[in-house]
Amino acid sequence: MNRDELLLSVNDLTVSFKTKKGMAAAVRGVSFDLAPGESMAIVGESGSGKSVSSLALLGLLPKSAEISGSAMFQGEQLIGMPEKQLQGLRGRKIAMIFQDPMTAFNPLFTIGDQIGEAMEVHGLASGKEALSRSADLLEMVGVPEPGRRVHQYPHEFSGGMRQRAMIAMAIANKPDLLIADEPTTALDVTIQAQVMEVLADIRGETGAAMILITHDLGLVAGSAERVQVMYGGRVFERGTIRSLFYDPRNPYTQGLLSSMPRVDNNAERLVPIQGTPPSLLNMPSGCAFGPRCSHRGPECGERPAELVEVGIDHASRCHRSAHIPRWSEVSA
Amino acid sequence: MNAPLLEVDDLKTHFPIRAGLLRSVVGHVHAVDGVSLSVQPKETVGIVGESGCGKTTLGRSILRLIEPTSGAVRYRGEDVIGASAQRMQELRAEMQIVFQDPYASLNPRMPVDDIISEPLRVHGTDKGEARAKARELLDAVGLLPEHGNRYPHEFSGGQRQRIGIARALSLNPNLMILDEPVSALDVSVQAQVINLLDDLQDEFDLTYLFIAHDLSVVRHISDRIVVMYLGRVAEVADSAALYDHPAHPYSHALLSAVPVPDPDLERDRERIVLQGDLPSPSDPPSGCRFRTRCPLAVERCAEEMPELREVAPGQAVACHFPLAPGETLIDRVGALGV
Repeated sequence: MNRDELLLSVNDLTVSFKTKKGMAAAVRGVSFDLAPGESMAIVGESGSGKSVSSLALLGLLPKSAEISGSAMFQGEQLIGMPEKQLQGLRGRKIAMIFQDPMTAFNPLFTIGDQIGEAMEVHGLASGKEALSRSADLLEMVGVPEPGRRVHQYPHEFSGGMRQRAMIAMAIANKPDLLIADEPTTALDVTIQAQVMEVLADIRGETGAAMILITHDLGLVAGSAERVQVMYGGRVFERGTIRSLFYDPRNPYTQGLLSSMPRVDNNAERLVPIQGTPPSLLNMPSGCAFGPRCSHRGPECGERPAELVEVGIDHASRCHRSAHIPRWSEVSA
Repeated sequence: MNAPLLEVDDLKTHFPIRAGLLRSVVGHVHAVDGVSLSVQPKETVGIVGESGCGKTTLGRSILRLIEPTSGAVRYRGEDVIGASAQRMQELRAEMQIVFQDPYASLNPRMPVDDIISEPLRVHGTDKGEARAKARELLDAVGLLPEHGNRYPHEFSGGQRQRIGIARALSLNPNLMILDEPVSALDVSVQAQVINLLDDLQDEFDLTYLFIAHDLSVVRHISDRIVVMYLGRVAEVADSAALYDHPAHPYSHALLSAVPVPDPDLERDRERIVLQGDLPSPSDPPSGCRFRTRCPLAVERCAEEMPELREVAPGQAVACHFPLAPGETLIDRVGALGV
């Protein structure tokens, strides 16, 4: 795709935090492109850097974070953009949906006030109009009796309804990009299904692109077109969902898939990944996954691997790509 | 069939709701509201349900960590609810619990040796012997025995959960109640702990009551599964039967909502998205608890509470209109023309 047509182009994004125990490298050179309307998932375990990278794009990290690299959004550089200018983008062109809708809302204001505020700060609606548009938005995301519920406070909403209200707030200004960070992790599975359906419908109507950040590979399979798997602050594999789920080439991705118990078939025994994810303060030299990898060779301890194309729109970061068995053999 | 190791009969645990100046009781939360189940020796029974279904309260009520309101719990035929304090202490040696949060359930000021051996010391084992046993158990759960003098913060989440399991094993229990033991763990580590639980069951002849919200995990580990909804049992079935042909509309909807890591299956499957939220357990619906969200509900469901009854050998369901094997909720909704 022509670079001018991209919605977002991230290049070599790096984020480190100054801590008492030294520098913690949370994101170590992440690059990706996102086309308008596209849906991409970022998958990883705790400490993989999946959330930090999108918070960095929006300037939402604390001052102790050192950010470098480039992120072009609709032709504007997000990294280093003055706060005032970022405020004009956040909630307008780019909106974020967080995991915990209880802490994301202010308990002292009604839901209607807060959705309305999202429009007012950008000068897109105010007063009565903002309130009636808030009710329309609640209706769009499937909140029953929206006219009454705009006057209610966050604690009067159940978890699933609050998450719908947050989606309503996020889409209030018809953003071009939605960043959903573990949007259903706090919800029960039947409510998760409702919320994911709402998100899909809303994207169908508004044409917004989405970055879905999650630890749940199952959720990714049903709601994204492309996916990147992160580990130790780096992208270890990226591709279309079909290539990633049916032909994963990176030992870490393969390990994640074989660790997962599945509701639709019963493996006699799971095949876990040995060991635990590395500490940000104490990254292994060489490949971050090396110490846990059953395919490691001498080169893996020496230097980090590069992200290399292994197929069409499919890349893997592994020194030993040539020696990794194909998934069809592993999972048989 | 053997005599069951654990029997629960019409167990109810209600919590009073207090309000006003005098803290008078204005109502009750029906957290567990008439649950019966039995567990055979060396069996793994999974208890699944969404938040508020009462699964955690059930586990704690069985051990009387929360005193149940009424009903019976029998361990090897012996009445647990009526047991004296002293007898209860002896019984708790045989029935242990592992909690969800490996960060909150271990004393941060105690070395791991002491955490694991404390139950033994409470039950009268001398210090040297208790410590030796702790080191043995560390080895059994896959940790290094020499790490016994470290403190909990020096371990990762998965390792802490192993420590919690070692502590529960210290008194040679028969029954382990595992309350969301892997839900705080990353997926790669979760699989390690699940495999460990499998191995320990064989090694120590353990019986598990495995409480969790994650159906994929429960299916993997359980022989039989109890599906709970709002304080009551909706369905009990062998693990394979439940996933193959759930009879309760709720079981069916719950299973169809679980995402699977397979893009083609995800795209093609018929998913039933339940409408509405879970009603409040302080004011449960009349009749069938699930009727407010059930696509099949009719008048009778509001009037008459369905009893748990057997629809096939080993499969019991609390529904007036259970699904037949092979019939899906979508078929039924279609046939009714709803």
